[in-house]
Amino acid sequence: MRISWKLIKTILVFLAFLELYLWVGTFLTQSEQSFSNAFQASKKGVYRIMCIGESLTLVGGNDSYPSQLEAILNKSASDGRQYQVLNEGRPGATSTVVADHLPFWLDQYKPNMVIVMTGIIDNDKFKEAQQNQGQPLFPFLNKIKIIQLYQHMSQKAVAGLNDFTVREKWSAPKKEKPIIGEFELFMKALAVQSDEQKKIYIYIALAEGQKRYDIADYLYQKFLQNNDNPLIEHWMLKRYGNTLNIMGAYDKFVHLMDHIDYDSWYSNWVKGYCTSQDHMDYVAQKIEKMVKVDGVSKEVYGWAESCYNQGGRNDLALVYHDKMKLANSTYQYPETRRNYFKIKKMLLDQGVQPVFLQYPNRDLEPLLDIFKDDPDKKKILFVDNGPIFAEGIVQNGYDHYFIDRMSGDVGHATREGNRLLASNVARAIETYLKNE
Amino acid sequence: MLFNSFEFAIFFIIVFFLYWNLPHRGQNILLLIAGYVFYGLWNLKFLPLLFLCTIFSYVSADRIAASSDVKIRRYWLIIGLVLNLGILVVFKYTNFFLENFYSIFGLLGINISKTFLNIILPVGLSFYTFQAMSYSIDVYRRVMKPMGTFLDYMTYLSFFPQLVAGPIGRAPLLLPQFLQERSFNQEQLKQGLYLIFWGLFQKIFVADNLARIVQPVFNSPGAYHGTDVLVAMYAFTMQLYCDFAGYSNIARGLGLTLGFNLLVNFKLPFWTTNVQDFWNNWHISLSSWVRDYIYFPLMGSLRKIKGNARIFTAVIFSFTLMGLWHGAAWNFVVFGLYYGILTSILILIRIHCVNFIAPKSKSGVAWWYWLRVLFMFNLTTSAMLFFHATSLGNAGEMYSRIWASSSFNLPRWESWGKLIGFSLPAMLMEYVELRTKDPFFVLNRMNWLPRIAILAFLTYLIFGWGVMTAEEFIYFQF
Repeated sequence: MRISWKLIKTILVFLAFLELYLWVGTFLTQSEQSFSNAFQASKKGVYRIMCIGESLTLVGGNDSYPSQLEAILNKSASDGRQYQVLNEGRPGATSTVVADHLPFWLDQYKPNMVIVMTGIIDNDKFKEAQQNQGQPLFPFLNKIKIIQLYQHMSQKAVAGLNDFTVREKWSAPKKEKPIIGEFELFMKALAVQSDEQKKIYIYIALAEGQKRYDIADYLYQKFLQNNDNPLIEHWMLKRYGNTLNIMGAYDKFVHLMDHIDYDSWYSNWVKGYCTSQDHMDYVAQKIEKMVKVDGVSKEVYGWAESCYNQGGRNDLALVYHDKMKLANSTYQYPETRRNYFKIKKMLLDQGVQPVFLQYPNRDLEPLLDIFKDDPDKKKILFVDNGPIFAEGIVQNGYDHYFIDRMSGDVGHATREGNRLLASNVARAIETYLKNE
Repeated sequence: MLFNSFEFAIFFIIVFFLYWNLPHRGQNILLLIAGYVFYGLWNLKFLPLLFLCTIFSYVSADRIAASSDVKIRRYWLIIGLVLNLGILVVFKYTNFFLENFYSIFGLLGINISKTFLNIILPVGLSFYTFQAMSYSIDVYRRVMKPMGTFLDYMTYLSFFPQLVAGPIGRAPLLLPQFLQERSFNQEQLKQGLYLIFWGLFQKIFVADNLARIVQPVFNSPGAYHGTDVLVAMYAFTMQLYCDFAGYSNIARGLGLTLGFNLLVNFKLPFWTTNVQDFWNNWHISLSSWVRDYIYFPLMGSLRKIKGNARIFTAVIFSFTLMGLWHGAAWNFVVFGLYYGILTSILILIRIHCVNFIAPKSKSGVAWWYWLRVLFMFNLTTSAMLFFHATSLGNAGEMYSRIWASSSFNLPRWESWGKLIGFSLPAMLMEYVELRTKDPFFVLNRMNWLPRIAILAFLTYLIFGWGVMTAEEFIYFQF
């Protein structure tokens, strides 16, 4: 086909239109939330509650705890008061991220009350990597939406298995700092690796997509041999461990356990592995070692518990359960403590009622401990979700309330789990508002 | 390989460039290989079925044509039909019959141990067996003579754009196209690409987005309010249409780029005003198949029945069979019965009160049209509930949810907004087609600037708002 001037003109105008739509679309999606809130706020007497946190708050759609909370509050509201509950859970958000975003959210939504449940994924692992992000060569190119779209689509084609929707990426509100997830950091690090490594990564994704784990296994080994970036190693080992677990290749798996530091994926692996006494003891031994070396005990005791549970040794499971409870009640990351303070101050300064939730199935004690010498302590509403979940789990089992063991003793909640959480919170809020 | 997947795009680009650089014979061989590769990639075990189906219909048509004796012709026709239908029945209906057979015994109080066969329904089976049967029948009826070699016929039946979900081709129209030389035509290529683009829009933007409203509600209707269930039902009607029409458009577009003209499967069905028109414009390749090969013969053999009863019997029977074609379950039987009864009622209305209340003035005609379109859409939605429900019980639960006073709530702005937001662009485009009576109006006759603005907007919707994970087309399961 002859390339004509008309064709070039057509393509250019087409791209110009596309760029225009992308800008308008981004603007509208940003305004969508505030528009719908303004729409809601025009009603008088709406009491607005905002829930912030990570995926434990966000996940579930209508089953998430904020959604269920809204339903419960509106159902039992006797004085005709209307409640609106906003869900601002951000997947992968540490308490630092939550605290950083809070001013923006407060400005946008102007809530009467903010429910905070954060800190469960705080650790120091990705902080350094977050700070060391390089600047792109031509920063202005990244402003063009078509290029963003192109980059996103090509990334998607490369990542293959990882499902991101386009919307999430380029309609993030402008005022906010983008939330850098673990995966995005990994992709950035991978982008500067050799072409050979990138190719192997794609092949791994393809092999796993086709459930050819034997090929994936070989490719993982090859990939890890040539790799010297600790961030990439961390991510790949996690995935490799998962693959080996699916394959049931426990000989290789044990070897891997020697090399990887603790991570939440562990809880899934031990489930498959802990089938014999030898295996169970091996895991327990590893975990004790980990506690000694890394000083972390919160999650890993939980894995030991589920390991012994899996193997049918309930007596030993109970021992580790108690160890974990103790660890949870005594340890909070300094970062988490600082952020809770920050959040409290921001809320009280703006005259917003803070509600601090302890994660389900955990003791309230460490949360209270943060504010033990604080004069503002009386102004905060604390909600204790420990006993009600402990009782429920005894009756119905852990799986009735939780989908996974993301953090040892807590994970993403099922609909039932969120309902229990929401009703407990609703009760506390109703009592609080009645007394006011 | 799904049409909306990356793999298919690569597959098609390779086929396309090879195809137009080959002579006519080579093109056919390439299509044959492509068809069998395309089908084999679903599951290699299905390939022999396609081949058997090809042999059965080809041999029976060949034998029919070779003889002028009515008895021998009929004998070979029956063999061909029984064998092809046999494949379909075994793979599609065995477990359904077994299940009902067992429950009848259960009702009689006889306990027998239940065993079911472990059969998967091969994708596209219902489509290509019907296409194969129509060939034998058309030869038997002397509509056409057998054409081409066995290889040509194999190519015809395994033509990948229409292999897995239609449109169900008719040999007199399509088979000659395989025997003729095809020349590259830029206009045809343009139209084909436009149809592919439009089909992808219907699938990726409309259908897959609506699926996200629909699926949770159908999974557990008890958890939703009446109006949400209603929204989900409307959304499903729209989803199903855009899913299947989108698929058909892509198929036709692929055909056009290769120089073939496939049947138009949908002609703006939601803008029709009665059941009969609806079925003349909805899944046309199936409804016309049923009309030509079931309804007409049935009318012929029911000559002894006097009066309207003859029409009603034929209509209801044909529609029920068509319902059952969609799947081996009672909700599809209800689906067919529902349309059979509606059509019978329409015939009664036509006979007894022709234009009784139809207005005459110009504005009256307009609102009367829109009212009927709206009414028809609601009738369609009621039917589609049975189409999508997992069982009759599930359908009943959905209905009762809508009418239960306890589940009443004010319409939720959000879900209605989504329903309208995702369907409106497609419906506006259809309205343009309705007014101009030209499916390619935007492509060919519109001014340059608005045309590009519209195409860029649709592209924006696909990439900005579309569901980018390749989702299966609903009709693949039939």
